[in-house]
Order: sequence, then structure tokens, then C-alpha cells
Amino acid sequence: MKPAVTLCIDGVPLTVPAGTTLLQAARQKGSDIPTLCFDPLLEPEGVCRLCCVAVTGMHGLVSACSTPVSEGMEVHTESAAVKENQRFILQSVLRNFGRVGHDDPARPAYETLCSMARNAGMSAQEVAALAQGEAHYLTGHDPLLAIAPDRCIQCNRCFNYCEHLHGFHPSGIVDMGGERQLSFAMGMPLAEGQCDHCGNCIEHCPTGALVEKWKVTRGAPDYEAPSICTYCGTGCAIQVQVKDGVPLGAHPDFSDTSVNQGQLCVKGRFGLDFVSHPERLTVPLLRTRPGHTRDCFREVSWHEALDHVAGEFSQIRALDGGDKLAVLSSARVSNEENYLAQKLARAVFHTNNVDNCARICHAPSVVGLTAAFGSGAATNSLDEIDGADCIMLIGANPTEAHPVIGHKIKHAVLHNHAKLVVIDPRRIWLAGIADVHLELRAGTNIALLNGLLRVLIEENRLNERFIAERTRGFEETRERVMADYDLARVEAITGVDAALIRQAARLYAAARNGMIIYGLGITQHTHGSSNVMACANLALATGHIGRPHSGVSPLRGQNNVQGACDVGALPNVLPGYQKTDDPAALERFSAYWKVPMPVTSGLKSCQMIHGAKNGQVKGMYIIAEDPVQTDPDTHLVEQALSNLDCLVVQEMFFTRTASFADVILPAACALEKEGTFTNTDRRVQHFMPVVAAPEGCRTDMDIICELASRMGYPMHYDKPAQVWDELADLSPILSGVRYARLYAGEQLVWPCRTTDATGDRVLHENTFAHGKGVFHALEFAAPEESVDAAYPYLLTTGRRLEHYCNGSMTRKTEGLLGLYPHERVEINPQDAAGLGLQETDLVWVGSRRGRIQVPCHLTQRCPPGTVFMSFHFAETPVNELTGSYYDPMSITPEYKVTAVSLAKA
Amino acid sequence: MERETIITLERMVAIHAGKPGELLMLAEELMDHFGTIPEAAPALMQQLGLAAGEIQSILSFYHYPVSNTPVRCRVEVCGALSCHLKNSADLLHALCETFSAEPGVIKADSRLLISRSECLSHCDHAPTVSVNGENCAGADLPGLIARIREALS
Amino acid sequence: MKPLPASFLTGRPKIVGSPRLYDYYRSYPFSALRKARNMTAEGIVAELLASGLRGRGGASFPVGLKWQSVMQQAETVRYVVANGEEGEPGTYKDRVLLEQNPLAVIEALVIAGCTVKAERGYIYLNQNYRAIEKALLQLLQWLREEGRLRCVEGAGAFDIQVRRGRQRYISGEETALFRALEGRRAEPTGRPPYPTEQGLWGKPTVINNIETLASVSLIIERGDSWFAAIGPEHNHGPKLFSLSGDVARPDVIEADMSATLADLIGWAGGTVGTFKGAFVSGPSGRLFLPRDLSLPLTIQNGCGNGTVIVFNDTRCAVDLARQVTDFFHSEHCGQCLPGRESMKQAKALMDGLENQAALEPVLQHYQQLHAVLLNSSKCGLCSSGTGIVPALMQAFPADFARHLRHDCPICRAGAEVAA
Repeated sequence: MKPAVTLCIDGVPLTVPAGTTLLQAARQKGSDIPTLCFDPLLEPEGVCRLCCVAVTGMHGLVSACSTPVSEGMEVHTESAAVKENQRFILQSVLRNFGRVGHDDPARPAYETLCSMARNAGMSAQEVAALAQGEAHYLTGHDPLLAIAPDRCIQCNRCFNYCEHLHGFHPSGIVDMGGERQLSFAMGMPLAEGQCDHCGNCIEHCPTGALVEKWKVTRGAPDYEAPSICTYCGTGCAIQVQVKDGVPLGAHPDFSDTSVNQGQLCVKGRFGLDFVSHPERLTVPLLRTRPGHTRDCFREVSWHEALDHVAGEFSQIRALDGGDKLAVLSSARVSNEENYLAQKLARAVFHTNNVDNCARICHAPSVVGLTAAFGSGAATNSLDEIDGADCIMLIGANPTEAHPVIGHKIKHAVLHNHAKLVVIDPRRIWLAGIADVHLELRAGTNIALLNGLLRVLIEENRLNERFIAERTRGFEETRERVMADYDLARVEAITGVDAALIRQAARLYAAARNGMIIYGLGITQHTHGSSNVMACANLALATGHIGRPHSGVSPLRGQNNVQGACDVGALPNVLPGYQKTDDPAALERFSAYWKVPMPVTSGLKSCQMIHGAKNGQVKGMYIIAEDPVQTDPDTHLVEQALSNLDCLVVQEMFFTRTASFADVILPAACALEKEGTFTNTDRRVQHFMPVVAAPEGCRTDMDIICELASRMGYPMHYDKPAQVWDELADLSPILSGVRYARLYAGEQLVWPCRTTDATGDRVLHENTFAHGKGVFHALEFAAPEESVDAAYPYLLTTGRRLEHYCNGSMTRKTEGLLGLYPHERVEINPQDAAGLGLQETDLVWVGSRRGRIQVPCHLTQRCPPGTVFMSFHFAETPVNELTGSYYDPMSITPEYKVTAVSLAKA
Repeated sequence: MERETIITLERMVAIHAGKPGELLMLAEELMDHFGTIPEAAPALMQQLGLAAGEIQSILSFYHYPVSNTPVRCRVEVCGALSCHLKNSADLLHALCETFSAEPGVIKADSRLLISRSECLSHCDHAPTVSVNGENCAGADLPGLIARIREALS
Repeated sequence: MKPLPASFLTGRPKIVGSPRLYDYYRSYPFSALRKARNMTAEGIVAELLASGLRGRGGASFPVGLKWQSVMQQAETVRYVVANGEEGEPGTYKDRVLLEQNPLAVIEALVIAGCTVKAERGYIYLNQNYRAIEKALLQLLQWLREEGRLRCVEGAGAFDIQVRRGRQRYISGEETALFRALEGRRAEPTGRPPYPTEQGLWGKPTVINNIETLASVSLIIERGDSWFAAIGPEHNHGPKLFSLSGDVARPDVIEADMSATLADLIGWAGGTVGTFKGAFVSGPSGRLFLPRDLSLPLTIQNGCGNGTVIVFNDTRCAVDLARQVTDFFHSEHCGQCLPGRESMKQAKALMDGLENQAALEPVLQHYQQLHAVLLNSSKCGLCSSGTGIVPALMQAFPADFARHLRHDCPICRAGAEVAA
């Protein structure tokens, strides 16, 4: 308990804890002291001097934000000297401000300044008279940000925030005196420039000197409307800024209950130009001749297009059976639309051949976590990261792929002193602030994870009680680990020093609350599901599960991949994860949908591709996915799609996959419709339309319903709420979530079985979903792809901050392209030297399946022997190199390990 | 920069590795040895545990020159009040005329820099001129010119 | 003319740069240090308090109180720092003192370190004092080698590091100096907390001017009564005055603070020409006019550091005002808004003087800047830098009037030569 201090503010006594500042005390009392450089998240600098107040007996005025209270102080916040000082400061700021027109990006800040000036005793005329000259925003030094130096008051908030709360140092103050100014070192991609364009600097700038460039070039928005970001699986709540019907950008939502709480990343904030891009498809297209260019298609009416599709699919269904059809639904469309897609497959096509892109990323999470815990989703929520005292980050690079989650981890480490263990073959950014970085050889996860468990067993760091009471299968696992996974062997396989393995295991075990967070570095392997189970083993062995700030949480990639799985767009489960061979479930669905249900388990998406190649699948309906660019082994995919009798692609842009279609249907995007998305921590979030869809586009919901109706199964819903009600009625884990509750602003997660519950944030609290947690004895096996003399390097693929998936959305924003215009293969400088390569040289990267040419970038991020590329650029299609090796349990491809050759081009 | 110079530079920086508080000490050592902060130095200084932006911020506050060509002869004519009263402005002008230099601009060929400085704390010998760090009484103009010529050769 | 008082701080031959440095070292008695070793820390502080010694850098804070405050802090890691930046124009007394008797400063710094139980001491030196730097390094090395840099025989070493500044006036400000020692931008940090509470590296720090430290050695050696007997009330002890400008023999004069401005000018050989005015404590100090010639240069009369820059009646007050304004404009750190804005406005006022219709609005504006700064600037540089110009305007309106008429023969002459 801090000692209490009694002081007097403007004649009113109050008592506050020692250490409170005068500003805090005054605000408690209700006095409004104006501030500019004060930031609630940072240590006070006391440079603007606007908050200066008078204290009896003290010489001059004192800065309220940086002066602590002391016993008996008499503070005056409204004296003549205080007001005169405020006027001087505000006049100085306003005099440099320049005229502020209606469209001025700094209008809101200007109005606050004027209001402070009036409160300081200036008349409206005096304030207006100060507005002279023009402020100029510099727009040439960064693709996304603009700065008006005359409006910068050097409050230091922007770069202090960045340094202290974001871990980057892109900018700072240079020179001194009259030459002192803010130097922004931006315009470079993250790895070089140390700026990830998160936009926090904009949010913290009190004068609007720092703004989004679009506010300067396009002007102030007409309105803003809320939505949920359609990029990654974090599910940030945003306020979309719209002008003339076009979304220009977004601000984050600041409410405490949102996922992101004022944070947003470069894509969410700036990557909205795709919505209004001229290349948007707005007319259905029907193929007229072979080929992959736009002129191989002709524009047709919706009527003609849908009739054609319905006809083709009905024919295949009639002649060859529904199992010859397949639906690849989308992790980008809403829950309602995914539900309808799987209903189309099951009720209309009569097949379980429906899948979504979870297949190629987190299907192993679903399989592995279900096997271990009984439920395939994240066990804890994202806001529990703050409060974990040890975070084990495995195979994930959140500062690029899930930046807002990356920010939460940074905050936990930099401010709450959480320990961080990073397990990744590459030296990702978070490795720089980690306590331990285990730089394992790609593909050796099981060995390493077993090694960690070995340390826990050897050093008696197990949670024996938890193991005894809440798990089964430990003995077999212990035997396996003790028999085959001594640290010498683990070190030999993984290349990680045994001492580091011990250190990492100890940190995790010793934590009060240890959290495992993992990504595709664990799942996209031939033993992806086993990798997940190995993670689960660690949580079970230490008891870091079933309570807040702990658990095992996968970072779901797409905005609605979690939802797509939840509502049954999967071949082996119905909505709500009810099994496709569960008689009771089948009965219920059959009764509701009034059709017999298909009984054979369906094809997984990679099997659909293989099926298309060998004739097992004849018709395919692909919704908002681009497997030609994002599936492994591109040539195989191209052959497969070419072989289909009828390929229908529902899309916003003419993607590579669309170029193979027979029919292309133009769909509306998330900002143009109503629905719900479910993010990576199981939160169901509702969104309303922000702008009208281009004339000619239809929502996925409308298209699917029309198609179903034309195929003899009338499907019609007045609004998405009706679709949700249907799926919620049929899915117990979702049945408590209803639109009325979402409209009212309730924050709901599943499982939420009743309308008076808000859902379980923390899973497996008293019991695991299937009773006891299950240990699995896992065996390390080398990846299918191995290096040899011909292909001596390991290629691992992944994401970049500025771009997303196939790039169809992000490459429509000039600023994002400005930051990262084309792909580069990242090579360790040692390897590069051996190959005679210099920075930006063109390189042939070849695998057993093909080769591509791409410029190189030398970086220590890659260990020797390993190279890295993203899959965001169609011109450098890295998936022409990857192979069709799959995890047998989930049929998820091994993107993370491909043997390649490198040669200077 | 020549290889040997780079090695020396790297060695000088490495002594302070991991000690961000020693940036200014290092800067002074570099100035003593090289007469300038070599262009490669700021990047190397990150070894001290500072970000590139921080280094730039600190060095720019103190107006450390970052270049690969040190000034061979640095002539500072004190322009503070006591020396101003002893016509230091005239002296600066005279020196610039004599050597065909512009105040504050480095003469490329001879690497001579004549500039006005703030108080050199030698007000008893005003007007004070410092030639490569050595204070001279500016009242003796011919002697001063000779001194400068000597330093340039 | 009054006789010049005896010298205690100065009056020695210059030893820095001399081949006799070792002899000087060998023969130095270290009387103060030897005495201090037999005193308690409280006893030392009591002597300093009784002596009435106030800081000689300009702020004039009672030295005993400063040391006492550091001793009272709970934090056990402490530092002592000698402030040798000496950036105030016209000030060179510390340079002379260091050239003549550097060991007095080192001795006092060791005493300070032992009294407040500091881990380490620093001597922060003006960038231009290279010869002094060399000598100090040599002296410290000899002391270190002979194991004499310690408080008590056999106790842990108390080391002193010499650090070179980089010609920044602001780094003479105490908190800015700490930042410079920490390898950062020399921008003042607000007070509170005070250096005695959180100074160098956030630890309680004693920071004293060079002359202050030399005075400490004298006090410990000769006793507080001896010191207090010299000079008027509240202004005890011998004091160094740096004389420069329009005087026949600019020099450091050691006297006591009963000396008047007339006395000092007399001891410096008299004014060259007719006395018009003097900047006492330099451009950041107070303007003395002919009617002030008989004022003693006490702290209360505005003489903090002892700097006196004399100017005669051939000088234009506008030129002086511009010199002062430009100086503070160049040297202000720019960190706080009122400082930055005031310096910009002050310079604009002086640069655009000839375009003004009358002096009164200029004077009022400048005074307003001064008032704002006194109230809310983050440190004292800009406020003390805007005091003398309004005084010049009020004392010499005729000079300013000439400029408003575009008719100043003095400045025009200067401009012609410079062109």
C-alpha cells in the first residue's frame, strides 16, 4: 500500500497515493488540464509545457504530467500565469499550423487545439486570425505515411511509442536547436527499415502532423463504418474510412473488449484498395476457347452463367453421382456462406466432398488438438497472452503474419517481463527479444519437442499431479522418450545445442503460466498432426492447460478459416464438428434439410486435386481460393484443373485459378455484405456492409442459393441472420450465439451453448472436451523431401508482412507494393558467397518439380543451408517447387521442407 | 576506405561493444584518430547496443562530421561576445580572404576549414583562434597565417 | 584603487604543459585530503555548511546542502562530477585554475567521493582544454599507480575518469551534462527529480563547478572560519572573476565579493575607452550600467559565476543584443516547445528590427518571451538568455532608435568590413 498524500487542487482537497502526478490527481478531481506531449502509455517527457500549473511556494509553473504530488501542495490550474502560458504555447502551435480546410487531414486535431485555445482565454477571432499560410504534407519519403513538418511539435510520442511499446527504432530526433527535427527513416520493408507501418505513430500524434498518405491525396473520409478485418485470423475490429463510396483505409477499434484494442497492422489499415480496384470482376464470364487469358472468356448474364453451371453440375450428378463433384469453400467468406457451401455440397450435390483451405494449413491442428484434448481449436484467448509469464512460440512469425498478436507478445515480453522461447529455423524478429532461440533444422520438430519433454522427465519438472488426475497415456510416451530421445541424439538430429534445449524446457516448466503459441511451421509437415500432439504433450506434462494465460493455441491464418471449419466446410465433419458418420447427427440434419445425407467421408482438398487429375472428380466449385498459386506442386494443380469437365470459380479478381475456369462468377467482398467471421480464438464477430457492392457483383450467399435452387433444391434466405439461426440450431457448440446478441455488442466465443452464456474463453478447465487429456508417443521421421547433391539446400516458405496469400488483395494497394514490390529469395550470406551471389542477383531456384528465377536478398535471418521465399507473387510461383507430400492424418502438404538447388542466373 | 583503416576502425569500435553509454567516448576517440567520424562508423557503432536511428540522433546533436575525408587544418575563430568585441568578425573575414576560403565550407583541395566557433574560453587572449585545437592570439595575424600554412603543408 | 587581495586559488605559475608537472605532483601536500581522512562525512559537510560556500558555476547553491542531500538518499550507488564545461561566453576562470593547480580539483573530488561514498568520479572537460586533459590524465595515472586514489588506506579504489565535452553550451546544465556522460543527447531532464536524488545514471550525484571544488580543498585545509571571514555576508570566500572585453588587461582576478565592478575593472587595467556597460555573469546574467559601477559583485547583485564582459561607448547596444540573441538561438537544445518557439521569435525580432516602426512592441514581445520562459521552460537556459536583451533595450533606446531609422554608423561600419 502506497502512503497517501493529501493536497489541494483549486481549493479542493483530495487524497491520492504517493507517486501520483499532478495531472493524474487533477483529472481525478475533474479539472481539465490540457496536454499535448502527454501519452497515457508512455513515461511523461514534459516537453510541450502546456500542462504547466502553479503551485504555491514554487518558483514559476511546474509541469503537471511529470511532477508527483507532495503533502500539503496547493495547486492552481486556472491562474492568470497558467492561462497565459497555455495561450503562448497554443498560439505557437496554431501559428505554425497553417490554414485548415474542411478536407484537411488534421482537422480533428485542429479542432481540439482550437477548443483548448478557447479554454485558455482566446477569443474565436484570435484563434481564427492565427490560421495563416499553408502546411505541406511531405508524401514522397514513404509509400503509406505523410508528414507535415510545420505541424510537428516534437512531442516525441510517435517514436517513443515505437521504441518502448513496439520494439522498433525507425525514427528519432536529429540535430538541435532551431534545426532540431523529427527524422523519419521509413519507406523500407520491415527487415531493413524497422518500421512495420502499424500506424500507432499516427494514433499518438496530437497535431495530425503524421497521417495516412491517403488522407492527403484523397482527402477526408465522408463517413466511417465498423467492420472486421478480412486479412488474417486475428480478427481485428476496424473502422473503415469511406469517401465517395470507396474504402480508403481503416482505423483500429479502441474498445477494451475488441481483439485488437487500438492496434492494427499495415494490411488492415492500408490494404483496402482492392475493394474499389478497376480489375474487380463485375460480370459473369463464360469460357469460349482454351487458354488462360481474359479474352478466352465472354461476358454473360447471371441467368446464363448460373443456368450453365447448374446444368453442368446437375448432369455430372445425374450421370456419375454426387461424389464426382467437389466444393472448395473459402476461409475468406462468412460463416453463413461457408454453411451454405457445405449445405450445397451435402444437400444438393449429395456428397461430403467439401473442404476449405484449413486443409493446407491448420488441419493438423484440428486433428492433433482433437486427438489430445478433444477439441481442435485454440484453448485460450488472445488477451491472455498478457499475463502469461512464459510464451513458447513454435513455427510462427507473428510480427509478420499476425502483427497484432505479435504486438501482444512483444508487450508481454518487453513490459511484463514474460519469458520467451522461440523455436524456428530462421532468426525471426521475436528471436531478438527471446530468452532462448532454438534454431532447429527444418523438419525436425518431433525430435526437438520430444527432447524438451525428455528434459522435463529427466529433471523432475513434470506436474505429476496433473498427469495423474487429468491425463492418460503418459507411461507409453515416457518410455518412448526415454528410450529414443536422449539429448545427444536430439542435438544430432535438430542441430540445436543440448544446453539450449534444457534452458528452454526449464523456462517453460518453471513458469506459473506457460503458453504455447504455434503456426504453420508446426503443421505444414508430413508429420504435422504429430507435431501438434507433441506440443500438446508438453502442455499436459506441465499442467499449463485448462486455465487462463496457458494452453496451446494455433494462430489461424485467414480471417474466417476457423469459422469455415466450425460450420462444417470439411469433408469429415458436419457443422459444429459433428461427425459425418454419427447417426444421430445425420438424422437431425436430414430432417432439417429434408434430404438423405451422404454417408461416405468426403475428399480432402488435396485429394480433390488428385481426383481431378485422375477423373475421380469431374466438377469443381471453387469459392474465393487460388490453389494454382497456393497449393503445392503447381504443375499438378494446373493439370488437374485442366482435366475437369466443369470448373466454376467464384472470385473478385482474375486469379491464376480463375484463368482455368469454365465459368467465373463475380462475388462481393466482406465490406459489401453482412455476416459473421470467427477468429483464431473462437470469437464470433458480426459485420455489416460498409459500402455497396459494384453493380453486377453478388454475395456468395446469393450465388450459392441461386445455384442450389436451379439444381432442384430451393434455397432462399431473406438475410444472413436466418442462415445463422439455422446453423446455430443444428450446432450445439454455436447454439447460444444469435444475431440479436451480436447486434447488442456482446462478445461471444464458442462453445456457447445457451443464450445466457458468453462462451468458454478457456477450454478444458475441469475436464478435457473428451474427458482426459491424451499423451501420444511420437516417433521422429525425416521429411519426405531430403537434400542431396543435386538439391543441397532446404527451402522453407512462408509469409511477409506487407502481403497476403496470393497477393490478389494486397497487390492492389500501391503503398504495399511500394514497400515490397516483388519477391526475393532470402539466402544466408555465407551460402551466397559460396555461390558467387551478391545482393539482388537473379537466382535459379530449382526443385525436383521445376525451377523459377527470382532475385536474392542476403540476410542472417536464414541459417546456412536454408532459404526462404513467400508465395505472395504469381510471377515467382514458389509452389512450382513444392511437392505433394502430405501428413497422412490430415492430408496437409509439407510446404516447410523442399529440397532445392541454387544457381546464379 | 583502405583495408587497414577499416580494421583499425573496427577494432576501435569493438572495444566499446555492448556499452551504449560509451558512444560519445568512442566518437571522441575516432575524432582524435581519424580527424572525422568515418562513414562506415555509424553502422558499426550498433555493436554498442544502439539502433541506427539512435546513433544518428546522438551524433547529429553534437554535430560530429561523418565523412571519409578529415579536415587537415581546422581553424576556429571565436565569435563569442568577448572576441566579437575584439573584431573577431574582421579576423574571420581576413583569414577567409587570405586563403580563398568560405567560412564554414571545407576547401576540397587543401582540406582547410575556417569557421566561426562559440566561446573557446580564452577571452584573456581575445580574439582567440584555434588552429587544430591549439589556441593562438588572433591579434598576431601574420603569425596566425604562418601557423595555418604550416599546418597545411 | 583598492589593493588586490591575496590569492589562494590562483597566483601560481601555469603547470599544465610544463615539463615540471611531475615535480608539482611530487611536492603537492594534499593537506586537505589528509585532513579529510581524519574527519567524518558529517564533519566535512558541517565544515562546508559553516563556510557558507555557494556554487561558483552560476546557480550559487549552498554546497554543503548539496552534499548532505546526496548522503541522505536511500540509494547507495552515488557519483561525483566536476563540471568543467565552462561554456558561458567570457568565462575562463576554471581553465586558468586547472592550468595552475589541477590537483586542488582532483583532491576535492576525492574528498567529495569519500564523503558521499561515491563509486566513481568524473571530470567533464571543455572540448578545447586538451592540454589540461592530458595533464589530468597523467596526474590521475600517477595517483592511481601509487594507490592514492582512495578514501582510506587499504580501502577500495575510488576512480576518476576524465571525459571530454563537445562544445555544447547546454551541456553545462547539470542534467544535460549527465546525459552527455551517459552517451546521450545533452538535453536537460526536468526537475524534480533533482541531481542529488537522481543524477548520473539515475543515481544521487554531487555535481560541482571546478572553482567550487578548488574552494572545497581550501576550506578543508584552512577551516570554515577562515573561509567565512572572507567576503560579505552570504558571499563568503575568495572568488575568481573572468574579465574580458573593453579592458586593458583581460585576466582572471581573484578577490572577494565585496569587490565592486569599478574595483575589478581597475584591477584589469581600466576600461579601454569610456565605460558604457558590462554583462555580469556573461550574456545569461545581468546588465550593469555606469550607475552600477559601485555595486559589489555579490550573488544577490547578479554575479553568480564571476564573469564580467565590459563594453565601451563605441559599442552599439543593438549589435550586442544581436550577439546575445544569436548565441542563445544557436545553443538552445530545442527540446521544449516554449524554448524552441521563444528562441525562434527572439531571433526573428532582432533580425527584423529595422522593419519595425517602434521599439516598444519589440521590447514588450521580448519581455513576454522572457516571462513565459521563466514560468514554463524545461530548463533555465532560454529564460536566462532572454533577460539581458530587454535590459539593453531599456538602457540604450537611442542605439535601437538609430537602427529603426536605418542610421547606425557603428553597425554599418562593421557590416562594410565584413562584406
